[in-house]
Amino acid sequence: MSIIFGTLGHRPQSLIPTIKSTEDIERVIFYYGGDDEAKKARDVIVDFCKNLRIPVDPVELPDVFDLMGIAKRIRNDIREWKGRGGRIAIFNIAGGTRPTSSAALLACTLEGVPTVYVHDLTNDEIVLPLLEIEYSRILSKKERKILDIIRKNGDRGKPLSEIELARIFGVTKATMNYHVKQLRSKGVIFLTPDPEDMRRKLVSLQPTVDLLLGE
Amino acid sequence: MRMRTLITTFGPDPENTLAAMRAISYERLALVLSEDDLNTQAQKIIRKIEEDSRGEIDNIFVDQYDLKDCFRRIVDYVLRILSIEHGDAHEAASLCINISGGSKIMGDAALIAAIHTGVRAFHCEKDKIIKFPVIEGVTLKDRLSDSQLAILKEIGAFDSLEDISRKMGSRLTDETIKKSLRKLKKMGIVKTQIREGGIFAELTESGIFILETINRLERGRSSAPGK
Repeated sequence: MSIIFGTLGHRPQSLIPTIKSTEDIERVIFYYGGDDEAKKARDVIVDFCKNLRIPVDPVELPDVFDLMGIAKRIRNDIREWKGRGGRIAIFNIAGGTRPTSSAALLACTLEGVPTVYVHDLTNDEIVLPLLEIEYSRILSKKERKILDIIRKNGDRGKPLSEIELARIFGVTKATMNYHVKQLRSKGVIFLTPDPEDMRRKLVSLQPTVDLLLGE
Repeated sequence: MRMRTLITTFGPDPENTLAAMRAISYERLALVLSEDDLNTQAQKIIRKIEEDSRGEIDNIFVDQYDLKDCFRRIVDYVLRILSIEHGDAHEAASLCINISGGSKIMGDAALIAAIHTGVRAFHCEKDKIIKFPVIEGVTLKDRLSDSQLAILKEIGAFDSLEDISRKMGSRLTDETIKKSLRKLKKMGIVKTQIREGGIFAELTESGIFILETINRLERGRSSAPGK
């Protein structure tokens, strides 16, 4: 049994082909906006699923233009279903506003979920070339641990210097400098001068890397 | 000469493209656009800005209704710039892609292109700039091991393990082939079927697209769009 996720705008036809083409569906979960047209489209999908005897969860998004907020919400939902042992068959990102679709695509990339788009004119499903493996796996375990520590201290309002990071991980300053350089070249951290000692550099996460690491 | 290049999706409403041009420093602008977007009022605004600042504009023409076409053309352009000006496809620091202009299909295609080529990606609006958590310099190809890549390139229509083993010759042991196939299956690239006589494997639809993208990344500079 498997779960279909989707985003929905004003056109139910953007989601229906995926419901029809997927075998052995356990549940359909889709995200939509609060305007009247979106609600009409939601009702069509809900009826369609009910007639097929498929449980359906419509999720109303408070702001269909809040790209990062939607990406976080969708990613958390995907993780929750995965945690319950659900198999996510496919995520259809064709419907909804452009930030909603991009947010869903980002969440699918991060979580390694198979993703489709439905062609606006032909209604054909286009399978996207995404790997079904978490995107953060590109980083080594050590790199992910370092990012996690940087995040935790950043959340407490106490960004760390390279020397402090080296101390925490029990490595030399040169070793930590190597890791920091690598992470910087990958665009996931940035350095700022320490206001208390301008010779020291503090290490912080780029704003959306939080999403890359997950909860 | 290496130039900082901003690739941005573009459509009838220029505001998000202009937001990207304000937010991101660049020397050359590349517009991802459809033929219908040529000579529009929006394009004239952008052209005027670049003429006044003696900037360069490249046009990347796409079929705005075809996500695959948009993706392929953006990837080709990125690879052309990287191979001509950088000589190293991993040095992507002076390139970036904004996905907020033009159609939704263009934007989604541009985001996948950024992720698979390891190029910085942004969503720029008038009062909001989002940098996507793309890991820079890491391409789709880098996410697969050498043995996985070798198998991916050789696999045919429902090949048996023996077929794959024969194609691999002495390059990979049977044990490595089995292990790599399991991993490729987990990644959604390969599907397997147990039939009389053993296990048979072939690429999934996504796997075919992934292989095509990897071939593209390896070819680098070919199929580049014209200016």
